[in-house]
Amino acid sequence: MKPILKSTSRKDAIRTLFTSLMAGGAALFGASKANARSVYRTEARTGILEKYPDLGQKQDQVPLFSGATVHDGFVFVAGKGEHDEGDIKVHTEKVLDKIEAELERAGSSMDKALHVNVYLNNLRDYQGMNEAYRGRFGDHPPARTTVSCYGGVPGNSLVEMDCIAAR
Amino acid sequence: MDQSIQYTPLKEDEVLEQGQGPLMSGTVVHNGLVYLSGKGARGVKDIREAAKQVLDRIEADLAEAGSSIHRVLKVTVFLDDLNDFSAMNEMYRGRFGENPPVRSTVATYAGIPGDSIIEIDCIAALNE
Repeated sequence: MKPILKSTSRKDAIRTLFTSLMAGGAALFGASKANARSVYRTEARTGILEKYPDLGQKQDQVPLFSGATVHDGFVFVAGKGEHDEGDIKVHTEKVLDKIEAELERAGSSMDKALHVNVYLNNLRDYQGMNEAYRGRFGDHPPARTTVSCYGGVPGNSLVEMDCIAAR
Repeated sequence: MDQSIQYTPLKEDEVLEQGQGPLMSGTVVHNGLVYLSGKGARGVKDIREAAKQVLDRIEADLAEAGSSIHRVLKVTVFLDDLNDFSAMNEMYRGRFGENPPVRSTVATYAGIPGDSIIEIDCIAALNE
């Protein structure tokens, strides 16, 4: 079924730059309000396109990636890793917390997740990851693909996850 | 909304294995979105050059499909070697505009088909 759009999304070729700061999102990510980049928003026949800044990056250059993007009823969450100490369960929990925060900032939630990719640094962590993963997306979890990448995940994370969700 | 699906074949030099019928399409368009197959740079051993070639190809394919680098929503970067992460980032930064898409990056070490040290795929929204 096609996602239901707000009626305003059908206006043709209206391009706006949404400049208000996402104070809630900034607080969530521990960044100061003054540092937060604005949410980019554009509206077209094909639907609303929004890009939510990743607040963990330096503000003085073009960011490498956004935290979440939104289009036509879908939310795309950036690959999240955990770069502090901890075992696979801790890393999985923290990564899922970050995904949850992104989904909520973008107006979605864990129970609306459709598809998740899990990249493990080591396949031996599969069970530990699953223990921390189970139940986090509710009783009807999203589709999931899991692979292990021997080359690793940037920033020494034991696991990286990204997600596509309905809004 | 147009619910049809449009498939555009891979470019000739992107086909790694000949057989009966294609293994994959180059781009697939559906419901306002375009899906690009993973792009590699065959035989290029310098990460900066390889990343540049891959990003150039993505930019060209997006334009051809009726989208643009500014409309990209999600990118996945597969590196053969995680040590190439910083150099890849140097070439990557700014290529998708001031408001870049989300991205996931992993390193495979087991290799990328077609003798490439990097592969990038993406999902983008079509132009207005």
